Amino acid sequence: MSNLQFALLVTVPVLCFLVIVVAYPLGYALWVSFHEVSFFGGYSTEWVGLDNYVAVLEDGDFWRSALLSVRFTVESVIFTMLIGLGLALILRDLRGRWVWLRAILILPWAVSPYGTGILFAFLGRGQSGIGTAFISLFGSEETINLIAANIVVEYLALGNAWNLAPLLAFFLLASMMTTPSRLYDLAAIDQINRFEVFLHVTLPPLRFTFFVFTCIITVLSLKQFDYIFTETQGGPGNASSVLTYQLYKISFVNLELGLGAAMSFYLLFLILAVTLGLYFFWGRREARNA
Amino acid sequence: MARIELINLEKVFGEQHAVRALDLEIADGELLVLLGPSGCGKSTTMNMIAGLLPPTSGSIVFGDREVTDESPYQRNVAMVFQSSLLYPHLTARQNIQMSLKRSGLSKSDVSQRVTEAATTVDVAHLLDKMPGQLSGGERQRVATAKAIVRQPACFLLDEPLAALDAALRMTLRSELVNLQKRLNTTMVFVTHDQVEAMTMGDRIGVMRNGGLEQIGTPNDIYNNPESLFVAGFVGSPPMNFFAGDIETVDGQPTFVNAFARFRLADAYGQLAPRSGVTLTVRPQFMRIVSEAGEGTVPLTVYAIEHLGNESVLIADAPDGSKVRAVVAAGFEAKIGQALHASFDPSNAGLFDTKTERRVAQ
Repeated sequence: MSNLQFALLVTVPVLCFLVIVVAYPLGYALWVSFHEVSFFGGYSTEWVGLDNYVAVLEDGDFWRSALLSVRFTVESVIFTMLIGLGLALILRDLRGRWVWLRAILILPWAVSPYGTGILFAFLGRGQSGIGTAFISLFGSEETINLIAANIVVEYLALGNAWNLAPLLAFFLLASMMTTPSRLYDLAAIDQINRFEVFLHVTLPPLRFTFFVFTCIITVLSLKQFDYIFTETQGGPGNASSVLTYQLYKISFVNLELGLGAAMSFYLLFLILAVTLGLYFFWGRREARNA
Repeated sequence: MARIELINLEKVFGEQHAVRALDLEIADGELLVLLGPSGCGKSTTMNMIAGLLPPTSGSIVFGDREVTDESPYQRNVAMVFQSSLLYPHLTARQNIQMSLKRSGLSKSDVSQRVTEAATTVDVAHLLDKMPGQLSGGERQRVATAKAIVRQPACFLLDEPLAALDAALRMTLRSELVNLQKRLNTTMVFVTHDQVEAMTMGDRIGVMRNGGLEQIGTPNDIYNNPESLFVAGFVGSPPMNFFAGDIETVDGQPTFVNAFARFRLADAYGQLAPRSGVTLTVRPQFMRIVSEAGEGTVPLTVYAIEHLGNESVLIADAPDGSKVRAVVAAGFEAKIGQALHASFDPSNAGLFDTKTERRVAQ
């Protein structure tokens, strides 16, 4: 058997599998997006050209949920970065008998988005939730409902960050370990202040990790569905009805499959545009410095 | 510019005594090398001089000023770290500028000082490069520029050349000494490389187990080691050791062991018989002879290292210890061949094996 034959033997099955599980549904979705699918009086499809794509753009709910998706994503990234960095700094400075905490802190990441949603739905409730419990510590009688229209997206982003930050923290910790401790001595000789030490010693080796995780968390947040589905069902009202939730409603509740398929391609474009933009404006620079 | 004095300096890490009762005076403008194997406390000592590590007890004086509780910056020290550490994401220029971050100098003054320092060590053309784009030697020079730009009271160098290749190390060695003499600034240089210590130091302080084993000029250290440790640590190829006893033979104190006897030099004329001594001879003083005789050691050739201008013969003594002798370049011998070596007794040193100290003449 020649090298080429062997290569084909091991790769063709994988390629076939990928075609079946990725290309076929994608192609089918593309086909559906150009049709109007109806289930009344038997399953039938009708070619409508770009009508679905135009209809999506004219739909105010689409723009609203797209904005919610962006808001949820941006906040998720910011919260994850802050929590991840904070955790990593704490984990780095653990000494002696506290080192085992490093292992414990990975646990939130081990919870599925589905489970995270249920957990945070409980925590967010007005009567028995964590907000009410917290202010009652200070003697207040008020109820704080975290799943309220004006802050629900922030609360969702926080839960999402809780779920994702431990993984980032571990990658940051690994990068921090590569910083020679003598660099902190150099900073002491130069007597630069704590912020400058963070900026010039702690942060530089972490920047590439931040870039990679910004991409990962952006994509994960834009396509996040099960977590939001179990936590808020897009509510209250439609206050947390992000693009993925809107897609679900249109496709599987309203059964407007063509419209939903067209909308899903806009989501795909959004994800591609954001990640390409991140790479173009940030990633190339980090790759040069790395 | 400053004279540095360490007074009864101690550093304890938990159970471990890293530096013990260290008294040391470094003259203004002197280049002192702290030499010792890893873990001997030389880096800890330097960190305490720098102010990076508070001493457990004792005090540090710069000039007439006690600085024990001062920060590195207040002490105005400049330090060059192992492998010439620089901030990796800043250009050479920004790295050098960081030394003046707290100086309060105006922008134009800073820029002028940076250019001056860079010119002094010949890196002015590299100022806009990142550390990653510089070679090891260039990085070392930039780190030196970063140190001199502050016009510090003293330079502290922690094995700055350890990561460089041999040829470059030789060049930079002389460059650093030349620079130190030109600037006439006190310098403390930490190394485990005895060649570096011998070639660079005005004085060498040999450290061991947290204490100063011996301090003196390179010649002193080389010719009159106070202890077996110093004798064995300094010199290349390393010192030869012969274990044995002192007996009186024909009214003369004589070194005796199972395979050799050497009459001691006249300076030891009054030495009483004693057991457990070590005789030391530098390989340069060993002479190879073909016949056994008075004051020779029987040897079995183990290897010959050719150095071009001379060769080093390495041979086994009957007790299994290695004996080295510097021989002429053309010297030939087969591995396993039997030879004999002798030396002039006046070139031998005598130490008490147990205390490891020199036996008084």
